[in-house]
Amino acid sequence: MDEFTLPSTEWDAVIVGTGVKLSLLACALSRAKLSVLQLDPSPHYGSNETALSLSELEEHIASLSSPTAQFKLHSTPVHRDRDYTFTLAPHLIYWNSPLLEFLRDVKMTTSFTWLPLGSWWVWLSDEAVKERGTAKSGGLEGAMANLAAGAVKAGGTVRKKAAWNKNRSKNSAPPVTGALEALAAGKPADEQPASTWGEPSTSTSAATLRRHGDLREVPCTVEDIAWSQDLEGQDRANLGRFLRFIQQSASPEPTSGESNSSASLLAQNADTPLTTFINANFPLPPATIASIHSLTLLPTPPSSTPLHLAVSRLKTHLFSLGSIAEIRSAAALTLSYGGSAELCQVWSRGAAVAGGINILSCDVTPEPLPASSSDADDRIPLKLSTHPSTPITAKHLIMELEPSSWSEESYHAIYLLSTQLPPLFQKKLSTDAVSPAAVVVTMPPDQDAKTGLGNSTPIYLQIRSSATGECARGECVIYAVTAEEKERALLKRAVEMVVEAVDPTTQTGKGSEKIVMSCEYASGDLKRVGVMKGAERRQGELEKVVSEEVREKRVVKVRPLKRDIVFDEGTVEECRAVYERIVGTREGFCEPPPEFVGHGEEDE
Amino acid sequence: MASHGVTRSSYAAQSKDVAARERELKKLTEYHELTAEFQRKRTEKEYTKEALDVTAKVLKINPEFYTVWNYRREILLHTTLLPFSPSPDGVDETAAYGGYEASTAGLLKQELAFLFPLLSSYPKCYWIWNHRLWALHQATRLLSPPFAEKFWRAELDLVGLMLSRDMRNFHGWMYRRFVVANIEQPEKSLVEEEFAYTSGMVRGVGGMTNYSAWHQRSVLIPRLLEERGSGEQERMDFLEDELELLKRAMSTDPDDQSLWFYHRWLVYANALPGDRTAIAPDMPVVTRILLLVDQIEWLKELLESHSSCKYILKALVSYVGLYRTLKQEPIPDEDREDLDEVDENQEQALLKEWLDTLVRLDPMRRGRYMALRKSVLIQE
Repeated sequence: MDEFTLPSTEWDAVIVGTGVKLSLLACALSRAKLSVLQLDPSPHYGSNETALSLSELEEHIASLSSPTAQFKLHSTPVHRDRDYTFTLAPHLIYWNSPLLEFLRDVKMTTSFTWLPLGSWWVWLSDEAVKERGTAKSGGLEGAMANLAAGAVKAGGTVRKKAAWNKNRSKNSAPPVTGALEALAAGKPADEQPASTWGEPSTSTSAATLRRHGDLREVPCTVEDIAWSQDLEGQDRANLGRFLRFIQQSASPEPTSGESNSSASLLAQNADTPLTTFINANFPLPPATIASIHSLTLLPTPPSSTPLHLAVSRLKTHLFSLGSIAEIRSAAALTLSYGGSAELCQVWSRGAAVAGGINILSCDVTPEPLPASSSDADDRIPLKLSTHPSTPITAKHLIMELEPSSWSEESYHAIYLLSTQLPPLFQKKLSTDAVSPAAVVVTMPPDQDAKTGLGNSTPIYLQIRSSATGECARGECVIYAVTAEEKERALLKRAVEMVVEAVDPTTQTGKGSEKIVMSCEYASGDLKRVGVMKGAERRQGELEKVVSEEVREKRVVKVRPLKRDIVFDEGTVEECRAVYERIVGTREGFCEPPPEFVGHGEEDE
Repeated sequence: MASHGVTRSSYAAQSKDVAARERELKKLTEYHELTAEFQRKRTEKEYTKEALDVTAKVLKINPEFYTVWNYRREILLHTTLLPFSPSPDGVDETAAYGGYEASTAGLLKQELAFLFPLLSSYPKCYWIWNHRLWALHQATRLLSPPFAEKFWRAELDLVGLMLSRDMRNFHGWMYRRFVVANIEQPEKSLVEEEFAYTSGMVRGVGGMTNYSAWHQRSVLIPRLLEERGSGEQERMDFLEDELELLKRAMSTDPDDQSLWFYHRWLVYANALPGDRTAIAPDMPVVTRILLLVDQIEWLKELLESHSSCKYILKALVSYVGLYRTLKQEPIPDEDREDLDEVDENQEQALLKEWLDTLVRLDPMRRGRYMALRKSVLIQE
């Protein structure tokens, strides 16, 4: 590549990397009229949040140089290589999230193609569902008096025929099903026994939560709970009360006598494990607890998830539901063509449009200025690999924390399937105008769900359809994640189980036949590629070339983006804080230049 | 007084900026010129395309100016929206009518299209909705029934869209009833579809608390059962199902007031003889009493888990009072056997306890509960 002339050798900000946070900062600082140079040793945008074609994915996995990172093509994919988009960051973005609020504020939502998430699904065997756990006992110690009073009745009471309607016609369905039939959109209900988690439903019965084998739709609204055939008497009441507890513990104003007590109950139990807390205050069977926990997408099992974390996630989920008019059942969205990789693309481009410079395939090393040049003051002297004869200086150097500071490990797998798993992508409500483009499937800990999988922490699968533009019609892509190293081998089995349960064309035991491509990697492997590869080296050089005092003032490090399924909530705030540190104010963070403020706001 | 969160003073503050003031003045002048022109043309009863254009310009700025809507309608009725008249020289009337329908429908579609962006900006302006209904009625007046029905059906879709954006907007529901009534005009009935629509609504996110949807349901049920030709037993089964539905909803969220209102209607309409809206109007008194007892017993159970929910207490007090009233009705001796013995003293004590709790929980309405106490308790 010919060396192009850099417009300047002095930069207000040099940003090393093109991941999500660094791209956002590049955009914000450029828009604030700072001179910004953003670079990345990789030939593509996105760093560890990048999007890759099929062959790029294979290369990337190979470059990780890890014995446990694997890529395998099992059969021929439908599309050409470049028509696939695999991403290292297939994040979900909740409607009520700091990121979306920020994008709305700066009128950037139209730069992206938003797709809705469908229902959450959870794997629970019949055996697991029959287990009552502590829900049958009257365990109410520690509950506040006006939240739970009186004896807790055991779940499982079958409704008797009402004494006043003794002659109920034999032909009509029993009361429960009959009433629920009325809820379905005028279609005839199938004969469904009004007992525990009902028989597998067909698509015509819209009233109950759906089920495919052991994969069950997770109830997340009061309506789901009220009219689910799968919950019994007291369980229904307790789940309803738990939902209200979450909503009230979050509200700033007391809405009724109960809300203060919800907030204080939460405060008193902030670190109590979720299971313990629920058993003490809203006794529910372990299967139901696992089901609710799946909405949190947290990597720990419910028996060790601290209450305050679970409540925070559940609150986001519940308050996001119903916000999208076209698909009220969707709580979250995701981005087409590679999830958060798109954020990197749009923001880096935004930085360039606002006057910044992006250079790919360019590494940077702190290097002392030649003796002849003027003193750098407290600027940081750097050498670019693309412009070795033009040393530059940066007023601020922004990069990601080195891998040695990385704390959480997670284990990921990506699968391309030759089936599109249609039952999971059907609309939940008759009033939904669009179908979902992605769904979440949870395999809870084996002891709660009795799946036979043997995992002790939840395994999450995000399944993305061809509506994302990331694969061909008739295919889908599954992103699997677990926090436990020893359970990474279970990811493939989990995918096979789901395919066998859901896909009408796959027989039991033949799930693996639908896997076209499989690949696995650990989050830790990513430190060996791209911008992270040289991170320790750069830090070492920095410490030699620049004094600690200058480093304190001029070098800014952002934390690596969390590798959760949910988009890292702290992102915008962290970047805003860095912006404030450099620019001197929080105002104007990414504010669009006047000539680009256009046509109104339309989400989706 | 704040209006939609924008106070008068913030309006004033907006105008303070000099450049903004200048822009405002310019807008005002333009508007005055437009309305002056409108007045002129109307006084002269000018019914032309130019006049129509003037009305469009005024209405885009101020759709609340209803006189201009009136004028617009006058213009259309005098110029383009004329009834079909077969030509005198024996030209094929069917073909001629077909041509007439197509062009008239096109005009009406244009009119509806003109309204649509106005609706998006001013969804609560009565005059826009009024004009919309007028345009649709023109379709019924001038076009053949199947053609006209297409317009109304498209309108139903529009209402569905608006209700999905704001499902508790009573304007939306009222408008929906208008539209449905117009589709049903000749001999059709949409009652099953509409009932299914309410079912979908209350099933959907945030729908369980949608008072408008439950209300609509209560309005549809009597017609639904009549059209189904449901016999007495079928009606009782339907009632049982509906009560079961409510029971599940209320036990999930006993604080939802919409559900209590609906429950109250279900119970009162069917317990009291002679209610026109009753689902099962021919039930004997003893059955009504058993129904009431069934609901009271269930509510007592619910109270055990939610001892400070005032809705449960209020319902119990009302229903027990209703029960006492019903027992005064004439009941055949052989039916009396089905009724359980009731300890009047215990019942009285319970009523007192519930009312005392209500006063404690809701001291602001103390007077109401004291009045209730008088009417419900057997005077000692």
